Amino acid sequence: MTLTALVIVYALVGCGVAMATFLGPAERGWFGRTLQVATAFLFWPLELPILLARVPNGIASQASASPDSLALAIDRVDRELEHALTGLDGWAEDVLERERPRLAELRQAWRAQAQRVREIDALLADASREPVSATADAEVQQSEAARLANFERLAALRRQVHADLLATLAWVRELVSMVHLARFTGASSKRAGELVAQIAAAIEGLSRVAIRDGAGDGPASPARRSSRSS
Amino acid sequence: MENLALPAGAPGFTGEPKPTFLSIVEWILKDTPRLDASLRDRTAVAGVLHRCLWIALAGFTMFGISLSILLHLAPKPAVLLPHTSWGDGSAFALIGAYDLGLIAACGICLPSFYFYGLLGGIQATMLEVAAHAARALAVTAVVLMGLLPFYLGVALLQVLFLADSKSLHVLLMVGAILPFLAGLWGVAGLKRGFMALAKERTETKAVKLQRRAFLDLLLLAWAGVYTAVTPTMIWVLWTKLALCFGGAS
Repeated sequence: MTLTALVIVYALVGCGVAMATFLGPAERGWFGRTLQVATAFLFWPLELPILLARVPNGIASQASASPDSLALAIDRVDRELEHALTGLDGWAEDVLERERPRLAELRQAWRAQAQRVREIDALLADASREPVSATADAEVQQSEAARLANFERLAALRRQVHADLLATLAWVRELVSMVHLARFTGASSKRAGELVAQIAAAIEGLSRVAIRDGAGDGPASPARRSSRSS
Repeated sequence: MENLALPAGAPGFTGEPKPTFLSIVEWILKDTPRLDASLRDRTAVAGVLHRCLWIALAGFTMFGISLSILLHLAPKPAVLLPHTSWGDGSAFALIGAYDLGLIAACGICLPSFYFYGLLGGIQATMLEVAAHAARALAVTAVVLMGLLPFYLGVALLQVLFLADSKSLHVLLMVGAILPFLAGLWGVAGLKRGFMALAKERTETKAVKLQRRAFLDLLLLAWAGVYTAVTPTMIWVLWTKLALCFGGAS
């Protein structure tokens, strides 16, 4: 392949990437946008990973209501937690090693709860799109009313799961800040161990939510409770 | 996540303003941990990558203009380097070759960087690897801007007043490799960023130590690949573009 042929192939791919960049979310202002498209054309190997990692607009806007922002918040708390635990190396390592499985379980539980919220959201979105017949007879209307009532309960359950998850995340963040505080104020390793154990205990709160929510087969109204571990 | 108040002040978290071109230059100079943190934040990494790329582009363009002025003013054409003059436009060949060569070579090496990272056990995405590579380029460009005034001062003195052909030749060759000298700081920054990434994603202390040793070798391999590809690319682009602009090498 000659240099000219190589340049043509490079420029063709560059055109495609520049076009995709132009159609995607843009920088503010025409200068920023022009620069973005021009660099995408010239240096497309660096721009391509950004395009491939980008979430499509439709999904992003649908998710911005809560589920994707939920995943984002879980990631952030996860990072903060990891950062705090990394700082414990050589200080409260025994407790850290002992609690590691429970901490991993806690992280999984966060994601499972977030997925649960997403699934309920999808169900509720589908239900709200279904047309309700105004001319149906009384029996059908009664069934329709019962169906709507069940979806109302499902919505309440979703709010509950969501609130519990948020409460757990906030609780863990609070504990993480306490770990940092303990570390820099020269607290004992026992205190650090207690804090790590408390973080790991947050899994019990989430497990109880899962058990309680899964226990009712019928359309029962969920009972409110705090997810903070005792 | 409207109910979960995230702290302001930490990069990428709610309330953190979008980093600008100048703020990233400032982070490179004064606050590298903040730059590292912004590269680890998935919501901000794309914007930081773009700005790092623009910083690199601006820095290398400034360098290209300066070197082309020196070559234009040199009393004798530099040995081994293609003809460069502002009169026939061949100076643009030099500027284009350095801009495209230094940045596009990084793009060419990117898949290798990604696989080396995987071999090192760092679970980094392609986007993160690209962002770290762009960060290294931006650091190189900023260091280059720091070195350039000193180099220009010495070289202009030589070109305009002393005109000793041997030392002038050496000075021009030093100018041609100046981005690679500045690139050492870029590689150092790259190492710091990747170490932080490895530390964050490593489970135990033993694995951490093992990885540190391996990462040194890995970064050496990275720097080796980049150092082999880039000069070749700059040279090919410079000679071909110089021919296009009508200059003979």
